[in-house]
Amino acid sequence: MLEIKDLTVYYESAIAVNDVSIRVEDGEIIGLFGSNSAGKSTLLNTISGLLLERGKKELRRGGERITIFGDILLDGVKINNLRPWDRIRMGIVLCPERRRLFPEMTVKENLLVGAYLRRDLDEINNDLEFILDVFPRLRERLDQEAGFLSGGEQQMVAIGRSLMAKPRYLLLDEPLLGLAPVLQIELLKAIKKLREVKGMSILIAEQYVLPTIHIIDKGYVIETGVISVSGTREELLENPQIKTAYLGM
Amino acid sequence: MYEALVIILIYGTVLGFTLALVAIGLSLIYGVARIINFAHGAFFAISAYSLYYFFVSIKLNLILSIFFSLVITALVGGALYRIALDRIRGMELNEMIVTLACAIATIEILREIFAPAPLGVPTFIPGQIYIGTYIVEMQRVLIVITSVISLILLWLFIKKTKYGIAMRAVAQDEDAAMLMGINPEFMSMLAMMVSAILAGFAGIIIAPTQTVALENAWYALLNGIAIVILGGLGSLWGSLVAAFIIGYAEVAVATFLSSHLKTVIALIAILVVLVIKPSGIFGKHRELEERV
Repeated sequence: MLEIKDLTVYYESAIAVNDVSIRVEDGEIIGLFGSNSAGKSTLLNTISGLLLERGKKELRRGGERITIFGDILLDGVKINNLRPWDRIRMGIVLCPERRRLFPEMTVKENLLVGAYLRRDLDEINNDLEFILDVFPRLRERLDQEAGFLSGGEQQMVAIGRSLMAKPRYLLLDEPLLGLAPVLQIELLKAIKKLREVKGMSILIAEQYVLPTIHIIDKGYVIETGVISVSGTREELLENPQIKTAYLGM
Repeated sequence: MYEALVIILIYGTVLGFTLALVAIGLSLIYGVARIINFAHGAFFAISAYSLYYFFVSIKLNLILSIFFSLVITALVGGALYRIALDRIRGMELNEMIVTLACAIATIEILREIFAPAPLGVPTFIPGQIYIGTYIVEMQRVLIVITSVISLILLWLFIKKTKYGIAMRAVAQDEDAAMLMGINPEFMSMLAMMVSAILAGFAGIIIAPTQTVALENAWYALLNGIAIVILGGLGSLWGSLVAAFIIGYAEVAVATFLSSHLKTVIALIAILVVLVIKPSGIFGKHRELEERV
């Protein structure tokens, strides 16, 4: 179980995440909904350990100080101060916002970089095949440079790349951003399939509540750094505030 | 005139390959760690002086001498990164000051250990071959062959090995590389070592064709920087092409004008490129955008 407990993240000028608690049980799909700059990315970057690294770098450059309070617990163990690669070894893998592919590498190289920390070489090829089965369109693109793919294909590579790390907890930061509605549905179906086949837990941060809400088990709504509503999918769908603000009903 | 052209072609090619090794190392460490390494020329000198020590002073055999010299150079490179640069990475001005200080310190230490006068290293293989009616020493042929082999090995390393791919990942997007579990600090150190080996190897193979002297370190650094700017920062292909442009230009100047003027070529190249096309021949648009 991945548990975020009373997490608060300060930038020098503002609070990005304010006293947020989230639980991800094994095998669950959790939605984290909120508009731009609500704190979704900050939260995911904190969980992945990237924010800690950025904070160190910023501090050295004399930039904004980033302060993190609260706990991130994996199966009850505190992982607050671990570096990103240690967290990946423990199974926490973030697929970042705007995909962040390596533009001058081929699709295949991008996918293989995802398996950087793995030692089980035979399994890596099986996983590559699995990913190509989930996203068949990537098969014919394997030797193309990732920078030249369409937005949808790039998102598939980005998710595939994260899957190559064999996550127990997959964190997706705005996977639907910039995709056509048809592709959004297709991608969500693929994400749901991942949970069914691999049994991994998935935390999706999204601003498109409407298509995403149909695949989640539980969801949280975050507004200016604070969790305002939380509950199961059914509860969220019935919540009047969500109906008006996010579902347009 | 015809003769002069043949000379430029032959000597320019040899010089081009040597400079390519130096400049690609410089380009590599910039690409991966975004460090402009002013200590790069020091690697060139350290390996040449180490070679002199092992090969001439204590008369070890050639292969071992080269091997130990490269190991020493790589260790110095790794130590430079780990001890000095790791803590200040991302602070460009500090990086420049630190690397320049290290370069000066290294060179003064070498001056203290070895005689200040230029030293000589015997050729690795004796003999010469004829290209048409022109005599070319085997050492220069060896420079070309071993440089080509080194560059191919480097290419294979970067393209095919796990660490090579990880290095490119860091160069293209450091944050994303971290999210793949790659430690950019480790990759930067590795890049520094590979970069030191490349410059060191250039210092070794060229040593018999000239004297081993401390000024060579600055010559290597100046040319390396000129080539990297001309080729485009961080572009390895650009560095390769630019190395030959500078190589041929320097030999042409030395042939037609004076060999004292050949260093000026590098400075002119820096000036012209920075005025006309700051991103260099193969420079990426992205690089410039980042800076704006």
